[in-house]
Amino acid sequence: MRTDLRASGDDTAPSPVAPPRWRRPSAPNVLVAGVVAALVVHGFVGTGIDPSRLLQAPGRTFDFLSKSFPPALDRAPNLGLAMLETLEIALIGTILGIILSLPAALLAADNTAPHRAVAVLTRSALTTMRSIPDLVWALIFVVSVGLGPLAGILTITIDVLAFAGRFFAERIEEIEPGPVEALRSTGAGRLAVIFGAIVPTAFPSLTGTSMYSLEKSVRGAVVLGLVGAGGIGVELNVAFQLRQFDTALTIIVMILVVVLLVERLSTHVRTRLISG
Amino acid sequence: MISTTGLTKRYPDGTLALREVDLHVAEGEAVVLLGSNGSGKSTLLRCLTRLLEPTSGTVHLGGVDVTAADRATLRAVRRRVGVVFQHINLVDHISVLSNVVQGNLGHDGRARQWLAPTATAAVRDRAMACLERVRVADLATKRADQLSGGQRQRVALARLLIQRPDVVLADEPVAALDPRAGREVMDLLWEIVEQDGLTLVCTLHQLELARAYGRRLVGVRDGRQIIDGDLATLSDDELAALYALETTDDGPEVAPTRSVIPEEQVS
Repeated sequence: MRTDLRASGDDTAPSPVAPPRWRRPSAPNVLVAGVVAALVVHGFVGTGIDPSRLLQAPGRTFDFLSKSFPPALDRAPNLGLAMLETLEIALIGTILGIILSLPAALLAADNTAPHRAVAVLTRSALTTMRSIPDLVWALIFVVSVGLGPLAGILTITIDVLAFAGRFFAERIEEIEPGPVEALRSTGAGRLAVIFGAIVPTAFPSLTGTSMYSLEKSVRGAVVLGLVGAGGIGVELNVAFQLRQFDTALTIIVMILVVVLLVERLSTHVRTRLISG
Repeated sequence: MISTTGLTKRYPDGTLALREVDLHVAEGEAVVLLGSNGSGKSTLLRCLTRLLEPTSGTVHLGGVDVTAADRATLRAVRRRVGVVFQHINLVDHISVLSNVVQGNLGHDGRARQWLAPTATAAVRDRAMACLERVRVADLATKRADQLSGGQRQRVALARLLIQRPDVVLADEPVAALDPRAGREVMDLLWEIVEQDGLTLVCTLHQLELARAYGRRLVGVRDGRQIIDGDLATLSDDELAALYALETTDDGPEVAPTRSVIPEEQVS
């Protein structure tokens, strides 16, 4: 039997009442909105932002641009070496971070951790590392190992370890239990199961994440120099402080080129991983 | 060879998948476990080597009390038992040869034996011989996920062969395959079991397949054995009871799908 569609709109049948258009917002929502509004107002009033500075901005920016052209190439060889150092900081830091992130992920994932407590502990350690911004890590390492690239390498290592460790752990937890069960059923030990079934299955995502980490690290390593952790950032900081804007522009262009190249490489590798 | 008494499994969600199962399988015997989806036959198979922890009851396998075994003893039991899975469960992303080599991990779990490129020559040669026996030696260098379903299940049989088991537990070995590939795999499985004199417990849900291959049949419904006999003397009417509408006091039985599995961690 066919259903008569018109019946539902028929006046004789009582039509159901539509829900109210608005609902009264709950107390916590009102509270959050109030706090956000208060912070914004306080920010404008309390910190004394002067709108007239915005009016001066175009002139000052023009001043910067006119002084930065043409880019100064006299120190280009030195700057090139500093750029190379930044690249190496990013590369070494990323490799160390990835190497450490694999055991960290195995300890953090629920299905591979030797004990629940270990998983919780490892995950909290990774969260702590991630929650502290990398510039802060750099400041700490500059104190503990002194100015220079070592502080940068350690910072990048922590950064990659924290990011990739959590990412790998999530990937490991998603792995289908079937092949794992198959190896367990042969009487294989815990390590053999992890490295025979779990790690190979997670490997493509591991490689992809490593490339993404490298991309992120190169950008990160540039900034680390600003607090003295080695590389091109140191040069950039000095150029700005001495108002040598023409040198600064050279550095900015170099950074742009290197970051773009690494991004291209990373994208290329990751696309091949997905399609192959 | 296999003997269970009062084997019971209740899943954490309360589903009673096995109720007081007493199953005895003699050495060299081949038993078909027949039942509809969710009847508890896969759960039974898993509980035999504690891939799934039974709730109560005991399992003896080859003279060992499996339910009381410590971790080392359990691994020793599992070494003697080859398992064939409905979902085949090869490790994708690695080569066919690596998958076969991994069947030997229970005997030799050294780091170099984890994957084929580093495995010892002896293990690699044996793996090739096992692939040859299931007639897919030419696929050794392919990645496991490039194979068809029938080829994959053959590779899984090679992984079982290298393990040199005494007992084979096959859980719906051809349910994921098309009929022709399914027949080939069933023929191969039965050939291996007969030639090597292995003890076999094979779950199936299709009566025709059971009739084509089995002799002794154990029928499972609602987690209970309700039939145990010679297939030649059992009529279709008797077997139809296995598929009758279920009337359980626990509501509908839930099939133990893959997502239900490991309660214990990788061990």
